[in-house]
Amino acid sequence: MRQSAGVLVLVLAAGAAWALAPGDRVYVRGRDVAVLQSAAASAATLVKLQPGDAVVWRGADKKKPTWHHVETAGKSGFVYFANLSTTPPASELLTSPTGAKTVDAQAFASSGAAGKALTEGAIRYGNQDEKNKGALHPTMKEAVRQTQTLEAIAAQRTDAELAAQVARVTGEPQ
Amino acid sequence: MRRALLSLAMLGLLACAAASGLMKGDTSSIVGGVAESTGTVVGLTQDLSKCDQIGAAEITFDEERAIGGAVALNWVQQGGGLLVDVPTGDAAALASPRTLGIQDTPRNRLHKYLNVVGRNLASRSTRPTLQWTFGVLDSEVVNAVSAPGGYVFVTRGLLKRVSNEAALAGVLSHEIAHVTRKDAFAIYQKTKVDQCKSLAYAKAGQKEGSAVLRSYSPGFINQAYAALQAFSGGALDLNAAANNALLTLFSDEFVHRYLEGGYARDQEIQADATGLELTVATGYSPRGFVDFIGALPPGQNFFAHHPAPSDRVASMKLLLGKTRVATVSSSAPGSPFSPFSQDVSQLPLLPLRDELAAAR
Repeated sequence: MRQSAGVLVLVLAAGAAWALAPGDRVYVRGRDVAVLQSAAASAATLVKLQPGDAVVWRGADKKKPTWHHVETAGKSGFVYFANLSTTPPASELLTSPTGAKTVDAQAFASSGAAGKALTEGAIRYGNQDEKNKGALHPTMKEAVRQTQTLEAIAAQRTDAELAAQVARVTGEPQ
Repeated sequence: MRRALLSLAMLGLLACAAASGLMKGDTSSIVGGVAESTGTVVGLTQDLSKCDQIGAAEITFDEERAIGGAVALNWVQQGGGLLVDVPTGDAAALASPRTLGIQDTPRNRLHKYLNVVGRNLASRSTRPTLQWTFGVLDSEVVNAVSAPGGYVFVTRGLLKRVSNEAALAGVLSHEIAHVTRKDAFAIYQKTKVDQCKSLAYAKAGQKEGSAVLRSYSPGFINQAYAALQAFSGGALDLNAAANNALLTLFSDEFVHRYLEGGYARDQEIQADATGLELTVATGYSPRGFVDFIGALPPGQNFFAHHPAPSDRVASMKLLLGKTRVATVSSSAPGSPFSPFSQDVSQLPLLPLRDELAAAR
């Protein structure tokens, strides 16, 4: 009986968690998400948002329910539903001199930790003599250099390239 | 229960030490033996307690990135290397990813394309601000693998099998999902505690430490043990030079365990679901990935650890039929933003770009 009550509470809690009301805060998923003047892909862009940006949800458009009315930074417009989420991006746990601290995704992005490439520890791991014995190809030292090159290729991708990719996939002009 | 076993082990040690002194008929050696063993037992108890502390501490991003980097290097080496052209340059230049000069070669262009596709997907994940890195391994085996912290790799063999960008996006999204869901953490946490305790047992001369003794030199074990002794609680800094032996102990065993067993079946099914959601939310047809998985020969290499392709396809079709959305969608069951609430049949497969030819 107690178990049934527990299940009921969980079901109710889950149901409540997803019940959105106008005025609730929702979050952007995706890069360069356009807030458009009206509920159409061809409408003018009012502002572009980035992953984790919070907006105020006003509800789905009555005629085109895949477009949702939102407010952000004093602007009111429409966002395609797949670019929104009821939950914010995951927080991250960072090491600090006073112990580990949890930061949200945007604070994490601006902390510098997010942009870290292969760490000193990992480089040391790959370059140690014990890891470079034997006939394996590539050697661990070569694997370090290749991975660093790969990280540079990844890090040097520009906003313009990424925006062009969004446009290519969605067919929407950026 | 564990404490009871430890107590029994302590009693055993004391009894053996006392008996060895008695057999020599020397009371001073009895006293000395008891004192030495008591010290060993106390030391072992303290070490094991530290191992439990290390295992109980939450994994920080710094630790995730350290272990992820070491694991990624293993995937690069075991995958035959990356299909990149490495620039000439010293270590400092290579360690500066924003400014490193990259040659404009077909292989590097392939990676530019892969990283644009991958980062577009990852930006819609629950960890959009990680430094996501996508690479192609020079291996004919059909394989894809990830490492904590944001590393995703696919093989040349896999790229030969994908026929559209939606399929590639599905593969990348599945691996992104393993990283965002932190699926490696369960294996890693257990590995960390087990290796730490093996080290402690090895130093105490106990047989439970034999695996560590077999695998590493005495000098290495001393370095690792010194790092364990210096640990005073809190987050473990695996990037510190003094802790390099611990990073090695943990990474090597993680790689071994992962290759032996992979992730749990449920983790793979969930990664398919989360990955498919990511693929659709980004704007690709789910058909590319479902068809790709359906065409995989069962039990091949890396995919041997995954559920049978037919089971994976069945799970994804159920998801697309919305009957299982409630159990998998990160954007929530019933959420007005679930990408599965749209008509996915209209989404494109998209042709692969010419840059992929460098891998074929």
